[in-house]
Amino acid sequence: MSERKTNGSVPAFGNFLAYLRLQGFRIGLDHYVRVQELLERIGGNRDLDQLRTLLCPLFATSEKQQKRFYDAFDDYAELVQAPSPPPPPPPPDPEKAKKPEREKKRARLRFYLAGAGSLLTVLLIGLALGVIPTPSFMTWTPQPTPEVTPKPDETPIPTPTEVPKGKGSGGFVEPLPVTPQPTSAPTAEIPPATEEKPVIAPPAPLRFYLLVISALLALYILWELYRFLRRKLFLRRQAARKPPSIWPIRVEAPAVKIYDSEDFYRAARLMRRRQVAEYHRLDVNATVAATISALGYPTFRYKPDSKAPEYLVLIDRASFRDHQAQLFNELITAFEQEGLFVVRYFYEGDPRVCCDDKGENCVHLSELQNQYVGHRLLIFGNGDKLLDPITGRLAAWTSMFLDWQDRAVLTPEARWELREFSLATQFIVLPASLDGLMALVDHFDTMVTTDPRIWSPSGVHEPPADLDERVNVEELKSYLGDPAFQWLCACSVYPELQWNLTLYLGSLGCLDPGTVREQNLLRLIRLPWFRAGSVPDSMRWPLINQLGEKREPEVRSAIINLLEKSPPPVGTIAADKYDLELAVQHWRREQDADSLKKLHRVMSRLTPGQILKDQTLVHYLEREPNPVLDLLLPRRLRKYFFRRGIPSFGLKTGFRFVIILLLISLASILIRNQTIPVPAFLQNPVASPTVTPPETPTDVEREAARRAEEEAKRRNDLEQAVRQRYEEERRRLGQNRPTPSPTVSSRVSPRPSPPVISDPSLRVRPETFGETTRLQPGETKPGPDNSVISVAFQRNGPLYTRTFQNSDCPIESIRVQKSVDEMTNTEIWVRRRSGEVSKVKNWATPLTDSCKKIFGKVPAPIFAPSPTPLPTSTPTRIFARRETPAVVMPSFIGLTERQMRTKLAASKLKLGQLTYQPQGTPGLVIDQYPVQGATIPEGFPADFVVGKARDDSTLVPVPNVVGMFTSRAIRALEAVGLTYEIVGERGIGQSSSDSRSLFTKARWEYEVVPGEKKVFRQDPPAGKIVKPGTTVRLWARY
Amino acid sequence: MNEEARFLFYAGDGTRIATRNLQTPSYREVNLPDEAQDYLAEKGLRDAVNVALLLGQPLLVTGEPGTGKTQLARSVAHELNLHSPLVFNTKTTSTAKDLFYRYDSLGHFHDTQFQTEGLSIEKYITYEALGLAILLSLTPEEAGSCLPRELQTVGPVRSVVLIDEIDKAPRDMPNDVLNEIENMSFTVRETGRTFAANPDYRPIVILTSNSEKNLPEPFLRRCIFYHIAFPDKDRLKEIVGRRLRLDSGFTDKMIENALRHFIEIRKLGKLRKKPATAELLAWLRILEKKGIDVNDKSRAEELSFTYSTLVKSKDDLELLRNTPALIAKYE
Repeated sequence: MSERKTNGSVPAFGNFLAYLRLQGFRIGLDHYVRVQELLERIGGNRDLDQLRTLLCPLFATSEKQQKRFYDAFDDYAELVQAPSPPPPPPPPDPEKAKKPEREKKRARLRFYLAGAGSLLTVLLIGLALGVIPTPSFMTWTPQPTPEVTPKPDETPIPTPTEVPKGKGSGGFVEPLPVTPQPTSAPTAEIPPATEEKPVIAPPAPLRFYLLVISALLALYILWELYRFLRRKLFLRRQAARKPPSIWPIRVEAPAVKIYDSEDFYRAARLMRRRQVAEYHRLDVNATVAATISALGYPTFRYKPDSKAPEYLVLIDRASFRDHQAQLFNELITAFEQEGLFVVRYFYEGDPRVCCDDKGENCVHLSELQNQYVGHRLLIFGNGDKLLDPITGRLAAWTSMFLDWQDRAVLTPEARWELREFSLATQFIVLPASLDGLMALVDHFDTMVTTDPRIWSPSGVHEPPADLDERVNVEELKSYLGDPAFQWLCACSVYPELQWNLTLYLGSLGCLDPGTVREQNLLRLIRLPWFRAGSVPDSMRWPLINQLGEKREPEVRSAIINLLEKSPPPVGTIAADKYDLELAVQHWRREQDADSLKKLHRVMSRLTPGQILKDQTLVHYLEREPNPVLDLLLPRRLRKYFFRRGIPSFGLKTGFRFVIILLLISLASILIRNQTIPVPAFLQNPVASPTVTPPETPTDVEREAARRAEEEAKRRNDLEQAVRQRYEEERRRLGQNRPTPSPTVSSRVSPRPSPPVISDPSLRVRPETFGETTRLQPGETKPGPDNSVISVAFQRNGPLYTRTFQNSDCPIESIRVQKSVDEMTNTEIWVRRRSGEVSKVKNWATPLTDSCKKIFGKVPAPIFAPSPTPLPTSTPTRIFARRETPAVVMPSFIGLTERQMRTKLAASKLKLGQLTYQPQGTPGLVIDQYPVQGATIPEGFPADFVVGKARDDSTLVPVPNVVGMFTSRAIRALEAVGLTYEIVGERGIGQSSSDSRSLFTKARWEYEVVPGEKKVFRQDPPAGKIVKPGTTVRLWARY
Repeated sequence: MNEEARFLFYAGDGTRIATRNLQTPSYREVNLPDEAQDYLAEKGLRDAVNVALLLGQPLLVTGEPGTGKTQLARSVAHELNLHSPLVFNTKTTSTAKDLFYRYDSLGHFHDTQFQTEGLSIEKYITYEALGLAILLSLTPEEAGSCLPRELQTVGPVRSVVLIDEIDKAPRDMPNDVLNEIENMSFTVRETGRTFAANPDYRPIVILTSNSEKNLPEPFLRRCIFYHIAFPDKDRLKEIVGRRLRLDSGFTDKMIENALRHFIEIRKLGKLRKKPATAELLAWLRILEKKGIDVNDKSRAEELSFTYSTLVKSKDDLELLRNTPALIAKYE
């Protein structure tokens, strides 16, 4: 500022004075003269800073004006300031210095994320293409046959159909998908690496399939990751937002004068008319005359003094945007400018508490009574709160007003009813118009009380009733008249009603000239919307439509100009709303794709909650034509697919996932049906496409091919046999096991049920009972009597097992003898009761002759060892599973509890969970788990349900929490022992279990807006009898 | 004798003052720190005064009570090397004429009962601040015997006239004096003599207002206006430094603490009347006398007694003593 200079010429200030006038200053000729004189006296070339404080005292007449002058001067100085050399760079601000650092960090993070994403994609595609070695878990395990050399004491490898149903394993017969055994060329040794076949790569269609699936999945994951990070960034940015949160549109008071008529000046003149003062002065002339009459004896005569009337004005103000209060305030200000002495206060319904213009300094009516009792009291408002709501008469406290000799209620109401006549018993009741004021002054002068009925407005249209509901536009038009109706429509374009904005819009050229006048304003302010400060969203849409194609763009242009003049500070909460409003106004004015794109860009930076506050915008967005979407998806179904039902908000997360699944399924079908040809370079991923195969195979190759064919055929046969055997076992088990009663068993406490083998190619065993112990090299595990010990050998993925029947050939202990670095060196030793100690040399090899019979019936390992030589560093794990004898679960249904316990002990089972349910016959077992016939290990804890007499006291009715705030609803539910889950308006929210994933949490936070939600729906409904602990789902919204 | 006992003139227990070896204190005018040379005007106010001097218009100063509106007149008179300001304290019954002169009609009437000749009406006219200032701008010959004897040889001089709290006057008064102030002339209706100020010695008129009432627009347009905002902490410190010559025992740190405390008190929204600069200066003087550091928790009770200097109502005093934020900090 110190750099600013002026040439000091008076004409240079001409524009400034005009600018000041626009700012509401009253500039007269004397101001020009004084400015000129001052400038001449102080000389030119003054700093603007100095001029600022030198000129202000000439124009300001109050504290408020002083501040406004300084602001106006600064604004104007910026406009006219000549370009000055750039100031020297300020010293680095540590805060600002941190900013680029943060930016750098963010850029670095973005770079890393992009890099990681790209790498992941390349990895996935590479995996699919076979460029990168495929991990074992992704390989198509070829079920190769280990080339094991049988020893003389070996039992031939049984076929799956020969799998015995031993004593201990009958119930859970090993329906192991037996790996084809090397019946043709059995050997006890692992073949050397050179003889092993390489891992067979998946066939080309599979690789292509993997490629497509991987690509789709990668794209989906990357997209979701991008969205997730974007939301996190958004939340961080939202958290960094600064106040202010509100930045109302700034409209300078328009130059239009509402009160500029002859009637107004006449009313002001009448109101200024002097009144009789409460004190008297010596009347000299009358005293002289009286003294003469009294023959010189002093006789004093007095006359009442007169004084300028002073007014105490109380204005009913429902809100700071209450146009009714603003209109009355405007009237009073106009009177003040005409020299009336007015003290004004505002009240909200009840005038016993009045506040100043800013609503800060509030006083009780009794204080005003003491201070301004000599003033004329004018109450602007309908006086509702002055009446007793029961009797309809004036409330007792209104006697306070009796101290004011001159008092009146000026009402804006169109219809005069009992209320006005009740008020008239104590006040002069007149319409709040210039006519009413003139009549009031006459009344104050003459003190003639007139019948209020003569002032009852006749021919004044009343506003339509029930304006809160949907109102007929034609009815509204009829009430307001065309100019005022168009004005109302123009006001509906902006979501808020502000006094200055309303006047500004009313004075636009596209509306009728003379729209802004008292009569129109009086009609508008009778609409409750103008008291509340906003037109309901449901009404804005139809009203804007009534503006017409010509007027709407003009009104929007005017609003855009205003918005662009006073943008809020960047980075504030208000800036978001401002950007949205500006983008909406641009879009609605231009109605082209570019502006819509800009709007979407702005919307992407906001929460849906912020957007949804403007229902008219939502309406526009919903109505936005989208030919392709309209064809594909009817509007009524959009809510199921799009967030909030609006395409601009994007697809729902679940639906995006479904789309990806559908794409994957489609790709699978197409690839399987060979609709999509497999690319050439994927036809033989093992052999390089550049390698040309020999045209004529050699004999060795032919022999190898023949062997491979035979091998494949044999493998298929074995697989078929295993599958058949497995299916048989499944059928047998399924028939033996009775179907439990659904009504009863559903109440049994959930326990993990045995896994159902649906696919015989599964590589894991079905559940066996017992405990699994991991054996470290050199560790010995005791083997109890009558048990089955399964030894499993796991190496880099595949699991090899061997089961030893202990009943016929008791095993005392099992020991892993030495470090296992590779399969051939693995030594597992088994000690038997007979004292025999033997070493498991090969997984497919029985141990001793004495156990030949047994081992001959033991199923072969699930998977034969991989013929591929593994590196010595490959991790190897050895497990020993000690399996316990099984029993068949008898039936306990119908027994008493005591009988059940006895039978349970006899069956070598333990009692698990015992539940009493108010169903069935009291005292008798009505349900059991496992069901009858199930094979379970000894000592298995069985659960039972015993009937008992119904006791309703354990059940609770669900309380009605609809309409409550969530916190209160939660308390109500917890009070009766129920749990809750808040699912939000659209199924998003928080749960009492708080089992949200990070993504869900981020999404939930993304959607959350300050404040407490209210429950609008609950499930189960209120009154339903449920068990304590039942989860009640609550839908809540703001 | 401890500190408290030295001031225990009235013990409230029926004992005589002599038993406490004390004497009733003699009256001594409280020397409030209002020396004109110590007044510190802010830039806006300084410019407003200069504009008023340049244009010869009255200066209307508003602001919270205690922000130095009245002191301004003394400061202007001091800096312009003029005699002390002529002060007119506005009453609720003041009229425009009262600004210039008063006519003792009752005394005149009374005297005529006993003496019918040789009575000059001039004897019953007393010139008030603005009238005196106009008369002082005239030569002794022009002013004649209208001036009091001690002032008859003073003129022609320029005077500063302070019309204090003009908003207390009835509504008519500002409008009624418009022409007189603009022309700097007045007529004594009883004698018919008109006095107009010598333009070279035009009185400097400073009006103050507490904004209790809105002044009429025509009056405001004829005034140079300035609103004195309440000073911020740095400026308060500057004012205190100039206006108070505090003991060295009352350190800068203690002043700093006191100012911070004072600003916190002003921030209390429920105060009926916020303490202003004058109250601050008086309060600091007391703190200095008693040697209280507001951060000294051991003297919190003593500190609370000094609040009566800052606030002037029972409610405000109780509010200060019971405000948790203040108590928590200093207990």
